[in-house]
Amino acid sequence: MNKKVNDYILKLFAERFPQYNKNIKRSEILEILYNNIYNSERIKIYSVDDVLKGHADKIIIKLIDDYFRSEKKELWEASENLKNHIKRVIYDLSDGSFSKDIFEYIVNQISASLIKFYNYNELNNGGFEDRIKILYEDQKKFLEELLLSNIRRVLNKEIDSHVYVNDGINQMELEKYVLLQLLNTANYNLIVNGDNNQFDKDILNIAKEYIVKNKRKPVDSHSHIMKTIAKEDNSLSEQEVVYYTKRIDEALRLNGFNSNSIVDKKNESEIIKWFYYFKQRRLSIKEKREKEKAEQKAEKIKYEKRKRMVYKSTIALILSATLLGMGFLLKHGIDNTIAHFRERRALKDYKTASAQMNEEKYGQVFTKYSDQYQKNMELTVNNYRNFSKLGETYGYLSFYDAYMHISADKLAIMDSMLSDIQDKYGIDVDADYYIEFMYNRLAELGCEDVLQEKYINVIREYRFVALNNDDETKTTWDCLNEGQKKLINEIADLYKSYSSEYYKQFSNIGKGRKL
Amino acid sequence: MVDIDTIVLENGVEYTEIDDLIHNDTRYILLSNIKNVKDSCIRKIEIEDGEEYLSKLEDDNEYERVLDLFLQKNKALFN
Repeated sequence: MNKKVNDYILKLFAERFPQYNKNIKRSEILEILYNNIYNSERIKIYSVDDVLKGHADKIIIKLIDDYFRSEKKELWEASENLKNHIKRVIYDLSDGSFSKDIFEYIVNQISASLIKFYNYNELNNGGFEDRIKILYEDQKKFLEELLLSNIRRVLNKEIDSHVYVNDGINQMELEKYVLLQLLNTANYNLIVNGDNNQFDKDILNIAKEYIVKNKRKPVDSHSHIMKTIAKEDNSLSEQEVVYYTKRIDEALRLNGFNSNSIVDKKNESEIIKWFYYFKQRRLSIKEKREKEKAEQKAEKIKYEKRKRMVYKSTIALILSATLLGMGFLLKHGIDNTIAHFRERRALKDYKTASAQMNEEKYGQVFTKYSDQYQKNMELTVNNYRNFSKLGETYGYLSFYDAYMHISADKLAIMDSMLSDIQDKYGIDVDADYYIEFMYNRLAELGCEDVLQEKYINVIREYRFVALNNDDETKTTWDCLNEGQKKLINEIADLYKSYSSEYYKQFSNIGKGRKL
Repeated sequence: MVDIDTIVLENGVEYTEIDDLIHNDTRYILLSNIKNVKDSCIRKIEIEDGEEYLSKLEDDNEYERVLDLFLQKNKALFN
């Protein structure tokens, strides 16, 4: 006798009749083999190769079962009773998802596990349900893992990845489908011991069948949706049909439909349902837009101008800052960029600090002005530098842009100082133009600190003169005007000492040069 | 001190008219919030029944074109 065949049948016996292993000796099994299998007419038609490939498994299992049924009746009945009990327990759990062969195999494995620890008398008195359920779950998991690893091996080797991308096949769904099909149809022996080529072919065939069935067919589903909605509403324009078709196709796919189920006649009601949904939504949007337009029209305001007095420097500041801001928007797009946000924040921080300063008393403000101003400017400059750097990285903001903003801030500070002068002392603020001009030029020369000191001292001095005026020939107003003139002269002197070139510019100020 | 023209827009905020120009036979004005120079906008003037009204620029291309014209007009400020 062929040793390979011998080993194969012994292995098959161990796998398919594990419940007898404990109760039967190896010599007895061999006896069964010779007397009941090899001598059977039914087995003689198979070649050695056929047997080794598992083609005779069913006959061999039947012959072994017949032997036990007739020769070991008591053992066979005890085994059958236990198996029937197991089947009853796991039948609902399995939900008919296994092939008969696999179901039998699972039952045998559970039976063999129980027999290892109990005898048939104990087992056939009933009970053990919980243990049976646990053993069933173990077996199921084992089988599923075994199958899935084989399915993945075959799919990775045989299926082109474009199937998942272009044909819209979900890989997990495909694996799940092949798994269920195998559990439902496969022969256990083929899975574990059989011909690997055949098993691989089975997996591939099932996968191909799924792919063909579920392949995305956008044209088909689109034309079907088009026909369905055009039939439903014949007043739709061609453009509207295309619009609704795309929306409906997307909605159906998001709700678990595929090309095949979309074109399925019985699902037409779903298409129509979505059609009315989108139609209603479109109408709502249209109504909303019209309402907005109507509101906008109602909002249209009359072009009525009012007059208001402001400082020249204020209007210059507004004009430059506004145009600069708008230029920024034009250059870099209407959307806010990170740099733009940071810039706004830097400005806000500065303005908050500036507002706090204005709330303080005049003298205190001026005492603190230098430090506070310096601090604010540093803060602002640092912020601008930071976002300028950031801006350069993204190509949004150049250093020049940042510099322009800083200049605008200087003007704002000047404006704030001059407002204070006017509010407290009523000095003619037209002078702001001269002071501001000089201040900026001097600041450019790097003598900001000296300038501020001068400024503060002169104002203090004339405030004192004005408040303690005992010269009957002069009004308080005269004193302040004198102070202002002196301030201008002091600045001019200071300026001259720094730059003769700038002095020329200064000389022209009084000759009608405008900002 | 100088006189400036101000307008209260639909949001209740007072803006100053800082510049204007004519483009395609329409007059556009550049407005800036006095209290917040970062808040600025462009409006066009439309005439209905002999009355002048301000309206928003709905078309992005129109907005960008007019903004560009304002900047060109005032480019000396940036040089």
